[in-house]
Amino acid sequence: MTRRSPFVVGMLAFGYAFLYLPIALLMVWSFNDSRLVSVWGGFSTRWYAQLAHDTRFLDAAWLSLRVAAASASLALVLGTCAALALVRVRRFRGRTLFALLIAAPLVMPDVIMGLALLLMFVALEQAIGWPDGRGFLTITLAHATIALCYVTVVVRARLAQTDPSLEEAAQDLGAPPAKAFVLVTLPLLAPALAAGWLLAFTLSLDDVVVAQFVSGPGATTLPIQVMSSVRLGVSPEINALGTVIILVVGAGIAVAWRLLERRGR
Amino acid sequence: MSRVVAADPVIRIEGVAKGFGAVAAVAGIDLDIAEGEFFSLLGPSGCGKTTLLRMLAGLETPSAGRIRIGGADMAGVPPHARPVNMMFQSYALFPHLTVEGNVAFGLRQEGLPKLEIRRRVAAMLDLVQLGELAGRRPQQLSGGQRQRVALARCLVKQPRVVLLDEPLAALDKKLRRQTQFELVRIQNQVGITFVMVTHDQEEAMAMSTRIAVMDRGRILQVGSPQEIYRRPADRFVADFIGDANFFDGIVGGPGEGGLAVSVEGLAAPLLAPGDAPAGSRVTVMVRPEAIRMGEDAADGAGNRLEGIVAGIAYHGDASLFQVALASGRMVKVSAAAHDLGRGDAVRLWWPAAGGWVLR
Amino acid sequence: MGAAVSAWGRRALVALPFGWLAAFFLAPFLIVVAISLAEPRIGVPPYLPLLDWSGGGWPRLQASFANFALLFDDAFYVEAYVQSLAIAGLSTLLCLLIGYPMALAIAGAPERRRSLLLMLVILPFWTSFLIRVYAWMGILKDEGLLNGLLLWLGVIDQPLVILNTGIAVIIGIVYSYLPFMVLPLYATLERHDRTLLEAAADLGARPWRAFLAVTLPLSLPGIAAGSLLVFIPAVGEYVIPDLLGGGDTNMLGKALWEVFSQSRDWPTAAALAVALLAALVLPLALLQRIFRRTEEGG
Repeated sequence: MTRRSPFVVGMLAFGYAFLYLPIALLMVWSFNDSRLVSVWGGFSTRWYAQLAHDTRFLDAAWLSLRVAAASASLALVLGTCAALALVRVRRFRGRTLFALLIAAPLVMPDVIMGLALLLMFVALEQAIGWPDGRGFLTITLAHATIALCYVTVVVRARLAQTDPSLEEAAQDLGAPPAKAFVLVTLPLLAPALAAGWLLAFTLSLDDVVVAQFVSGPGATTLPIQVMSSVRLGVSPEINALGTVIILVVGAGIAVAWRLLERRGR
Repeated sequence: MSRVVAADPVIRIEGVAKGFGAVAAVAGIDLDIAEGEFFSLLGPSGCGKTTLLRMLAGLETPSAGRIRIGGADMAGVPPHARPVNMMFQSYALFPHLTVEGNVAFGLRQEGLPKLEIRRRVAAMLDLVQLGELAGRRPQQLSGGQRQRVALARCLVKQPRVVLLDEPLAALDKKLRRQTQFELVRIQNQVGITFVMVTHDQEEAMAMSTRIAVMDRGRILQVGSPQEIYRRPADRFVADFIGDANFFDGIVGGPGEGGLAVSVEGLAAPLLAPGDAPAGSRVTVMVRPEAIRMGEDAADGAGNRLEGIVAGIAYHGDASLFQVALASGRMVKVSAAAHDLGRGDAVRLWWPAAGGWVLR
Repeated sequence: MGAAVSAWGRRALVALPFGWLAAFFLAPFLIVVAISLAEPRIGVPPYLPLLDWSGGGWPRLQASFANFALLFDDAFYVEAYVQSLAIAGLSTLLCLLIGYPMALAIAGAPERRRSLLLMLVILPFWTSFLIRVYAWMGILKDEGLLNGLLLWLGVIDQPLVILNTGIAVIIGIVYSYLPFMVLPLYATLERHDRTLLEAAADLGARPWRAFLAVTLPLSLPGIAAGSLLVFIPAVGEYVIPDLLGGGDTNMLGKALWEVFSQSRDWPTAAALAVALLAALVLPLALLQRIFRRTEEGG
């Protein structure tokens, strides 16, 4: 089994086919006039129309987008601080514990995170009356907590590649520490910061388990809405929704790819 | 030892020490550097020279002692407020700025008017001969060009002192020689004090007005290149700088030209200048180029040895001969091309003044 | 940063994320452990406080290990435990069997193609995980696409029951976590000094032998990392068993949610969470060891 043997290359092709099959099917089904998956009823956009008028989905989508944006921004700030702390501050008390806390949520099963956060919110509410009920705030806090660890990984990788003497040189040339950071390090981190924010945004948008635990009445995120629709039976609107997401993401990646290529040289 | 300079030194280091945890990187250094000097901190890696340099820049704080620059105490003064600029080993050029942006960076921090900044940057780029590359990014430059940008970036701010951290380490040999001349020329032209850190003793000798040899956090000797080469303070310095023959022995007493040192395996005691009590253990150092070979070795007060040529390393301008004495000891002799070949018997001679006694 | 940044600035930089994680990760985690020892009751919240202050003076501890005892006694939970480990294990193996050749192929591709190939592996991750799992329902169900195709081809005459079985769950997990296997494997394989393989060939080893003797052993850290990155989250999976597993599939993640939301038995749910973590302690420790090793050595 060498790197270029037919078997290996064949497996790669199979792997891609495997990965993209559901995506392709979603797109096909979304334009299928029939509800059935194995029967082609003709090309139709009725499911998209239905989706566009389904207030449940629209409201849920709006909530999810707001939560994702808020939690991603929070996660970005916290995660960047954490990355800076781990890479630039040489030693500090509790560093091992800190590194552990940063790494743990990455591998912790969602159900445990969800349960733990809910139990804490409940206990907190009992003790000091905040948070007042569960909804937008609690979901945002929960998502930010998980996402910040991912942001740390992304920013840390980039930071480790950055020459620390660049910031020292900026200070040596007369820029006070904060200004040196903003003028020199931040521009160099920019791609990692953008990637981190997008990653956090995607994770939040996609999360169903933690949201189910920590959300409350009236705070239905898009994934929760999708889950309940699925449980109620076949819902071809979801194919349309999936296709929309795929196209948006695809377009976004194409744009990002083009930008990176232009920047690259 | 010219460690302390009489007139107002631009840098005065008093009792400075720096430890990292349990490790003492720098242990109690006193040093004065005069205005306009090209001063080198020379030593093997880990000797503390870079730490000392960074303390001058303000990037590290001394654990003990005091640093004065331009007469002012630098305690608590951050790097951006010091009249000092540093050229980093990696050059630390800002990749997201052009050459012009890099050189102008320090002037922008001073809040100077745009026109003046542009004028000074252009003048500096001309000085280092990079005028045409002003619009390029560092990634598009060669190593030598990047180094010049880094230097220009420092000099344009007209600091009292420029610190250089192994400035030539990343360049290939030929470029290094050229750049050595360049740096000295520029320093003479602008008259700013340069303090350079290097592990390359040839470089330090070629460029500096004075050198401080360091090892394990301490200064072993400070002096001009000639002083350090001819009269090293101890064996470490003698060994670190240039090539040398070492003869361990015991001082017999005063001899012609200095002391007579009896060395095991040699018939006659070696004569060399120095100062040590009789009976003490010393080492006689003799540089390879001080020894002369050939049957027509001169007469007069000096040291004579006989041996057989064991090896020759041809170096173009001169060759390094390894001569084996009867006792088996190897003596290194540097001489211009000779008719001698391997296996030839040869007589060695050097005047007493050609050696030096180390304690 | 050295002396250049003020000590207070540095402290703030550390304290902000540290404090946040202590509040929103460490504290909740400790609360889970605490609640797992609490006694359930009907009410809001559905557990008795651990410390009863009502008697005056020193508080009385209302805690017990009864919840944990329940986990061992009740066959439901034991089965969930075993099934979780088994399904996660099988899925990990399958992921490895598919992912290893994929990683190998990408590592062997010309350099300029590699980032594109990798991106194609990661791309699905950015689209909705939930909806893609939902798509598998459409493929695997009795009247789904797969059965439709096989029936139409005449390979079978009765639809295969795949949906709502453990097999569907395995397919779902392999599908979702394949990138997590491919990426660490690729990272390790890519780092291999190609000259090692050349040396092996020079010494007379045929490609298969060279693979077994050189590539495979050297890629062990990647195999371990990828396997753990699949196994650990798979054990606690909820969405995939819920959508694809049906009533017969009993896994810890699903069980936890059911106990929590339907039975409203928070203490038992908490105990289940602790039990789940206990199962993962060893793999987590292994993973940490591997990452520490790659950070140091490489």
